[in-house]
Amino acid sequence: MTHAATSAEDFKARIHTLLDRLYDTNADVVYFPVRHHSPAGAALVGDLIEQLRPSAVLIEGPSDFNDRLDELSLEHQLPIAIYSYFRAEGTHSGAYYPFCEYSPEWSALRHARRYSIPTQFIDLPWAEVAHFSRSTQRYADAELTRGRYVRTLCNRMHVEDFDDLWDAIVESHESLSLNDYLRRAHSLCFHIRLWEETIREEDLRREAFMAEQIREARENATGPVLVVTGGFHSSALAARIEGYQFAEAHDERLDVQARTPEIEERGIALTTYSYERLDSLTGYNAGMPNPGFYDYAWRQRLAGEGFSHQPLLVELVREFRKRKQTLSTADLIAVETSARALAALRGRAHVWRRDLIDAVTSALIKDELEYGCRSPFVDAVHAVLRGNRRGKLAQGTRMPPLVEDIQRQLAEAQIEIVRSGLTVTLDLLKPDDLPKSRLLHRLKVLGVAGIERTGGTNFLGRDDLSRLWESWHLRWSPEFEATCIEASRYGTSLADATASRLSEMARAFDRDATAAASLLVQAAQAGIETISNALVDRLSELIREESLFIGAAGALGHILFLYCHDEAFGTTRLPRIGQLLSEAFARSLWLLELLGQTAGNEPVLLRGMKSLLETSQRAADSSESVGCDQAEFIAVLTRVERDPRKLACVRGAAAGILWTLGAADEEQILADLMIFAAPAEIGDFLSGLFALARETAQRNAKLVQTIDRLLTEFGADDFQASLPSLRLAFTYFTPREKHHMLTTLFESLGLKEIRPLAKLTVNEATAAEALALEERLFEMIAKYGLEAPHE
Amino acid sequence: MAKKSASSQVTSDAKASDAAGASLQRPSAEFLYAEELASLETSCASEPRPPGWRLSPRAVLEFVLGSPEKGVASKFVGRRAFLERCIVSLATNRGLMLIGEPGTAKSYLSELLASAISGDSTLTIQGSAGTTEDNIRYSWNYALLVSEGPTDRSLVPAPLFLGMSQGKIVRFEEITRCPLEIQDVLLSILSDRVMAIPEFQDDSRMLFARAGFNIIATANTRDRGVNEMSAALKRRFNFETVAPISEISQEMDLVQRESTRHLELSKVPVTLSPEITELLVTTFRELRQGKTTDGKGIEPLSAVLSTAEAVSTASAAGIHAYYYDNGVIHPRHLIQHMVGTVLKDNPDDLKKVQHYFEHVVKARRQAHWKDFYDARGDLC
Repeated sequence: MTHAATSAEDFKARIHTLLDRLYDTNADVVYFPVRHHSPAGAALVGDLIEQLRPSAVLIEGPSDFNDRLDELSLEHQLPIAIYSYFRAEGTHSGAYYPFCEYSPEWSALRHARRYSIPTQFIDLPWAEVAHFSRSTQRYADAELTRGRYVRTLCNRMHVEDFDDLWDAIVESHESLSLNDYLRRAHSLCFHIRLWEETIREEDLRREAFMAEQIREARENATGPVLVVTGGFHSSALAARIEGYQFAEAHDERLDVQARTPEIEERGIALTTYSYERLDSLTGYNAGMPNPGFYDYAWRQRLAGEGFSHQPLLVELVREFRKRKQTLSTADLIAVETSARALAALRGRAHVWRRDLIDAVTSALIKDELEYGCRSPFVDAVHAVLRGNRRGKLAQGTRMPPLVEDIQRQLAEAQIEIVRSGLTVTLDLLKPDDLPKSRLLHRLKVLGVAGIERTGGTNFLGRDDLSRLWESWHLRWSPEFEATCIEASRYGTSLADATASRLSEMARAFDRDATAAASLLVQAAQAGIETISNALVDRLSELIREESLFIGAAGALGHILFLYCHDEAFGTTRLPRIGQLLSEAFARSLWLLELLGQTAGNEPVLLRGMKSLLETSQRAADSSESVGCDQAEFIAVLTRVERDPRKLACVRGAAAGILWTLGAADEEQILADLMIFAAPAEIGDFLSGLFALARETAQRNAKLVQTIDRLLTEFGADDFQASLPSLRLAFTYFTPREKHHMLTTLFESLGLKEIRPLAKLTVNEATAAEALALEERLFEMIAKYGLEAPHE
Repeated sequence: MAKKSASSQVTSDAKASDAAGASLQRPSAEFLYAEELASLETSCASEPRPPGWRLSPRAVLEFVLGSPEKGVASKFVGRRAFLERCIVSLATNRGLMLIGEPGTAKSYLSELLASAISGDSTLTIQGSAGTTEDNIRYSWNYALLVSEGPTDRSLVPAPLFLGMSQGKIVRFEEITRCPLEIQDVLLSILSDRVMAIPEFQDDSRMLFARAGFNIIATANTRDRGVNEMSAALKRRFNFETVAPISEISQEMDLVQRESTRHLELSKVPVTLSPEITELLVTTFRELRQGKTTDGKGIEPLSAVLSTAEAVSTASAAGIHAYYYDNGVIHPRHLIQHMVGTVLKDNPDDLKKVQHYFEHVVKARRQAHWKDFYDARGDLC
């Protein structure tokens, strides 16, 4: 036998020894592998405790909650979660350990309590692993769902993903025995782990800690010890404890103390949870999909009935009709047939989760369904399979930390919210008042009852920025406390909670840059700590998806204000705002290029183009880059200026920008002016030009002369036709500037004196009539050839 | 009858010559994969199957998605659940409607399913503005009709008639191109599974469909609104959307494989380098999805940029390089042949492509992306 063959044989033998040890329920330490939120696991861990009566139950959970385990035995309504949070070097971070009734961990806790078996959480506190892990939902099974082994096994078992795989192996078998469960779950999880190329440092650290706890418990125990952890860890823990050769040799890595941030504040508390957050289809990196479905399966298991999908189907039909979706009896028959046929094709005795979803997709949707796209039917299925259960904490549970934070901050700001109501006026430039304003804005964003802003500076209109102030009306009601507790779902500290609430608000919008900008202003008012990365990312997305130039350029104006001109909020030159600024700039520029002929909004268009010019100038002036390339800007505007399908005022404005930036010379502007010499267009073109090149235009004698020449060539009718838009164009100049322009004109024409215009003694209508008469007269003279030759 | 036997003569001749050396431009799936179908048929002999089906539903799935253990090649890239739904639909009393963007292999999938289930993918109705009832149900050989009256001999069966009488899958391509009244011919056939032939006497007046008959229709989402299907007909179909390939690596493999096959058929010994495939597939995907691979948003084009279009662009570039250049495909060849694909009719698309090259392609540092950017002149 060759060496390689020997080592392969040896390896196989070692695998078998370890697996046999894991299956053994008579040993001193029994390992129970779970997939978090698995009803089958929950039922069987209960059976095992009943059968084994261990002397200790050790559960994967935050060990810093151990001294408060009693709180879990109060009469809570599930789902609830243990919320662990900390603050380190200015960053806030928190993670949830959610429990629902069918969680194996919860079931283990309950059964252990029934037999008064000492229970203990054995996982590292979140604060100590947070540095290595980004997952804030601690029971998410992320390590099980990925990897080569799962992919290969899915292919071989003919299922789509890990969720289906687990259903196929464990969950959809009602009468799976404890022994079979242990064999299937251990073997699956062990192999997933074996195929992993590297085990993450987070897992190694946690396992080293858990193994330590288990060893200690074993020494103190009089009987068997039951260890309930995620299946991914079971084999590694057994290997460590029993000294098998599978404890990865990566432990050296752990000796090098990684620099972890200094923890300034930490806490742990119970908080409410909901199926909506538990659902991996709606929640971020949450546990299992369709919690409502598993809840239903769990209840049927408890009732001792066989699984039947019929009541779920009834529920679905009810939901469809509630959502006003037509569903005939024939459709229902088609759904039922398809569901059963799919279950049969997938080799199942009864219809299961995926079969139901697929049957609805197949039989009811009569249109294109983009992948990941929403359809009312699919939404309804997900709503039913998600369930709407929300948790509630029992009386006497300690208050969530956010509520304490709010009370502390209100006391510090010396704001007392009373039943009779109270009006507060704040000056935002006063260092004492600004924090108060921020606090109140945060409460308002969180939807706390009784906080109302009654007046103040409008930072979106920016009409009057001479005084930065606001007034508030505050009134206490019972809803005040209730809304504070509800707001704890957004986080434990007020700033954090406000930041996540703002991100959530941003997710509710679609392709709306204006909404993005107004949210950013709200966030600025609530203090710059609430401008989180997530918020900035979402706002960038909203800006990127905006489809109207006016919207994007309007947003650009707001962001430019915050980035360059703000005095109160401290947003000036903030890199995150800069990022949004460049996003809005790029988007506006692109939409400008696509802009078609939409008349009626010229002043807004010009304001938008002005924001573009201003941003580009700011970028050129300031040392830091806001991501707008001058050369590209000029290239785009040159294209806009030449585009015959654009409005005259937009082309005028583009010409104005190019002139201001020195990218176009006087000759070109004059040539452009000749293109728009028609009476219907000249005013529009000039209003664009003057709006964007005010300084340059008023000092240019040639331009003024050319305009003068063009206008004197107009007939009276033409002149009258062009008058309104010309008037508008010249309103961009102050009277002084107009005077200056006239002086330039007169001087260049060689006229010495400027007389004020003669004041008419008749009204405008009479004057116009006289002019028209005169015009007709001259026309007639010309017609009959009575004109005197010009000299 | 004479006509029919003549046509079968041609087919068998063609098959014979094909065995000697390929002469068919595109043999049907049941012919191309005859061996695989035969071995699957034996291996699934004991499994339950819907009446009239040649393979069990599980074996059909294996035929389409491939099964390395049984030596069956993968023929279609798609999600398993989606295919399971398609196959189950065909086993129920509803037809299967495949919809999706042009070039997502709808017709190919319907061919694969028909050949796996019925062993025959040739019962095909091509929907068009000129499709008539005769093309779908049956028509008459008028000389025989005059001399013999309405008999089996004088009736000329169309695909639907054949499918119903033989218990086979009938394919209806581009159903939404047909006028509404023609589409609605299917109504009674799908619900009652019977076709009336009023010219015949007594018993043979009704043609009852044999087990195994069903319809796979395909429709193009770009043609939506041309002849919107009636609600009654929609109800008789299960709709499945064929999605573009979700994994970029799978799409690259497919483009590489298919374009090589096309070039081999044209006797052009040129293959796509991995860089060229990456350029082509990435560009097509990004312009199609409106999102770059690193998550930046861009404007999606209104032109159709399917995997099939990518394959034909690649083959055209290969042929170009072989005959007019040194036989190595350069990014410039891609650009030249993308012009016809990308810039079909919408002038805004040109701006979007310019924007894409200036903002996305320009920023990429690798040499082949640089070449791609430098060669953009033909396109922008």
